[in-house]
Amino acid sequence: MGGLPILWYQEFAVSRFVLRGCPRCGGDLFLNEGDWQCLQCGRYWFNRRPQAAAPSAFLSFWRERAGHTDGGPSAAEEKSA
Amino acid sequence: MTASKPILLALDADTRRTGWAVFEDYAVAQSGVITFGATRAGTAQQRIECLIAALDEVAARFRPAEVALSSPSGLRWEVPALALLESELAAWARRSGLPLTAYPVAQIRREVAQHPRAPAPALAFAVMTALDMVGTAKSTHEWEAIAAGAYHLSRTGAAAG
Ligand SMILES: [Zn+2]
Repeated sequence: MGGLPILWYQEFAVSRFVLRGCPRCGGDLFLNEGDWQCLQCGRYWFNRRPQAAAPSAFLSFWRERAGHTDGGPSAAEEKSA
Repeated sequence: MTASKPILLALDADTRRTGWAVFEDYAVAQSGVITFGATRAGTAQQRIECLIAALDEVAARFRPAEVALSSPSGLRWEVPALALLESELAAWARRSGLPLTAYPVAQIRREVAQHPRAPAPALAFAVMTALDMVGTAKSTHEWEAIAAGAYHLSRTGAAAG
């Protein structure tokens, strides 16, 4: 995939990153048009599909337990809701 | 304040490698993999006996109140060794006085990673984001076990309120 332009990289807010989040290579993930992409290996992780309007019971449960409203994929999903 | 949950032992059982994870109060307290690499030879029965012995150690150490199992029986192929493994695990849980809940692999994957045949890294990713474990280094079998445990807790915890 090659390197990303530095300026483009800097445009992203911190909440659009999951540091070392790639299960494949351990690279950082960033939110790319609603899906997570690894900066290191370029792989996409389709964690939250747009058509999944209502999160699964599994996700709802753990999100409620964590009680987090910012950071990572959950923030992205809440924004799009 | 929510009441703390009794300790749960989650397993991703296989006759060669078994991932396990201990949940304490809705968080992964410890996880590991039981392997049988040292003795290459050996029948499925012998490997299962090794597994049971190792599980006894884990249970003695963490004193779980229940067991959740990612059950390979949902797979399309029929493997006698896996059927044996499942029945032996069920017998072990009974002997140990531990209620065991088995979930087909496909069911866990569908609920956790939104697809019944989600690849292992996708399952791991879904679990680590849901449980705030991003950046934690675990093996595939450990993530499978953690997924089983997390799924079980989401079902029983939600039911209990
Ligand atoms: Zn990667």
